[in-house]
Amino acid sequence: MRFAGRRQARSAERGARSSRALFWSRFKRDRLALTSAIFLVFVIVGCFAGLPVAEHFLGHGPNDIFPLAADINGYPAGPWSHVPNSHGVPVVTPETPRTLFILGADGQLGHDEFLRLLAGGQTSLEIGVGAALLAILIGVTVGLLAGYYGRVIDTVFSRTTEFVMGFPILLFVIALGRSIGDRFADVTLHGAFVHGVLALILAIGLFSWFYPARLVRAQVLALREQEFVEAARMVGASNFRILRKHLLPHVASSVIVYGTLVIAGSILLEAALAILNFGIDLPDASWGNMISLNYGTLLVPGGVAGATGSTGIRASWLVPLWPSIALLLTVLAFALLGEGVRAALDPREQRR
Amino acid sequence: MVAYIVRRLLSGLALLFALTLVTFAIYRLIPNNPGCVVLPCGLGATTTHAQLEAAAHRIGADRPVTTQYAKFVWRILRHGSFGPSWRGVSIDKSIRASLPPTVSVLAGGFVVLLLLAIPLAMLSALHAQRTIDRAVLAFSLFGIALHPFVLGVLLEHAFVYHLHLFPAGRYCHLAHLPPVPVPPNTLPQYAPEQPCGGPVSWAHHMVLPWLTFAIFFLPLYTRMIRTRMLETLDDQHVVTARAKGASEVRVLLSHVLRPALLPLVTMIGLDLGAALTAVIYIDTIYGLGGFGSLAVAALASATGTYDLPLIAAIFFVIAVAIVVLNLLVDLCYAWLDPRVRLVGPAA
Repeated sequence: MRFAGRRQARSAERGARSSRALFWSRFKRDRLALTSAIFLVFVIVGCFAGLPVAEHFLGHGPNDIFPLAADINGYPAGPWSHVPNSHGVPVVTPETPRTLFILGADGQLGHDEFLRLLAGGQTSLEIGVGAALLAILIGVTVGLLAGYYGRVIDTVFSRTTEFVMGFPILLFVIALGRSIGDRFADVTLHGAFVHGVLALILAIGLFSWFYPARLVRAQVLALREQEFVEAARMVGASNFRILRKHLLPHVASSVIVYGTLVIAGSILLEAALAILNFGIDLPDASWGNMISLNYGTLLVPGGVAGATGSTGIRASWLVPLWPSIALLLTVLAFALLGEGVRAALDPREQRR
Repeated sequence: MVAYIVRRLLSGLALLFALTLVTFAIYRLIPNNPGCVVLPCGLGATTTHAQLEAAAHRIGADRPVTTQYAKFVWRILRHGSFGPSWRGVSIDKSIRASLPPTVSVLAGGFVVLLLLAIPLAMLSALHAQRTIDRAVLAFSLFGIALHPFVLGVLLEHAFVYHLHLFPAGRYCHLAHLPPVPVPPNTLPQYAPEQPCGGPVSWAHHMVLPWLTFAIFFLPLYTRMIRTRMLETLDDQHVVTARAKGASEVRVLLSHVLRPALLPLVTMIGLDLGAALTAVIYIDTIYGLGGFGSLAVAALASATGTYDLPLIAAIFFVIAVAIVVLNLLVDLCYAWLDPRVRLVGPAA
């Protein structure tokens, strides 16, 4: 009752609002999407800004090895344990300084699980966002060209994508990762990325652009016959200008929505590759290789600390749990964010 | 009509061989040592360079890629066979062995997916923007976010090791198989593994793979059917049906659901790639020995080499499946929706 007056005032001014303001007001009402957005900001800040801070306060890094963080059976230290920091010497005296492991250690090597979670988040987010950007870039360009120029380009494009999309992308990524991976593994842009990230971005991005391209093509096919394109052409706008100024803004919103899904999918694909032994190599962390560490390297049963293996090494189920939760929540947040943005952009959702 | 089918098949054939050519061409880019497929390589191996070269020569990997490709094509055209892989195993045999698990996962998984997705989508569409809709959305997005590997392990742990409801992963044939004879005086632990078969144990073994497959695709299909249903709910033919006094169930099932399910047919054709990716995951988790494990085993080896003829054969089989499936989808679509015409009036 109290808000009735305000709501009326708001609906009265609605006619005059820009589409952006309208989008924002709808998006704000979607609590699920808003929570996801806030959560994602939290994760990104936590991983990228939080890691150096945490390293500074804890006094060790995500790739540092603490042999004494695992007991004699290779069972890692539990959460919130103070681990002897003997600097590689396997002897502990009461005077040995201790260092805090917030989520415990990750296995026989005794990496800090918490710091690896943050560092792995960096890697996984970089791969997800990078691959999505690449996929969207290729997809939008190809989709615009195929939809706008039509004829031969369109036929070739449609037939090829239909065909290529029938293939399991995982096999392509593995094969391509194998062929370009070795050459790109050492390209880290002066340490901005860990080894292999750029290769994975390329491999995943090069095979994820088919869906966005089809999406854009379908929209452009409908748009190019409309009056505003005709009008632009009549006043002498070049094809490039029409594409950039008149068509691109129309497809931008759906591309953004799809982009969040590509990010989610790429993060998941990285994890799958890691579990199949094709991901980021140790010692660098990614959520995928953290999950796979105790999941058991499936193709080599009983490999490193395999949960199913017969190496006699007991694996802690907590170790793959943290990155699994992080992966789950992040991907869920990206998917919900995309859904929220889509709903807020879709004028049909409003009346329901 | 026949001309249309023939034209589609011919263009499919061209794509098929183009694709295998690309497979062979990409292979040139990969720095590898084909001899390592046969002989031990890497750390601790004492294989000499000459031995590796001899091995590469024996499997024909030292010839130019064009020759190898021509040989691959010739074998298919002349003998209808893929020949031996570099490891010396018959490719035909391994592919024939891996087809039943893969087809079972795909077909059964798809049925389970529809059984889950349609009711959920109906529930969601009828209560659009209310709590139930949101719950279904959240539940189905959960499926997307939970990695199939993690999901598979969770399901396996819960249902196999804790509840003992389903047997541990292994493929059971649909048909009953004759038991393998056990030689006399064999200790039980050395007895050959008996093959399991029969429809009941087949289904029993496949429940978890099907469920994993279905949950993997659930979000996409639920959302799609929901959106289509929301669109058709306001359509004039639905209003007319209501006005005529058709019961709500009848309106929903035959007037709303049927047109909403039409694009599903197209989606099945397009999603084959994603489905095969899911099959790779599921194969790996449940150890079914299907196409996924075959492909990953052909690509993955400790020394970083891969079995080119086997990979090319796998891609070839998948390509055949895509061409045939897409053709079937288009034919099906024309049959289901009489407004669609495959052959234009001019043709």
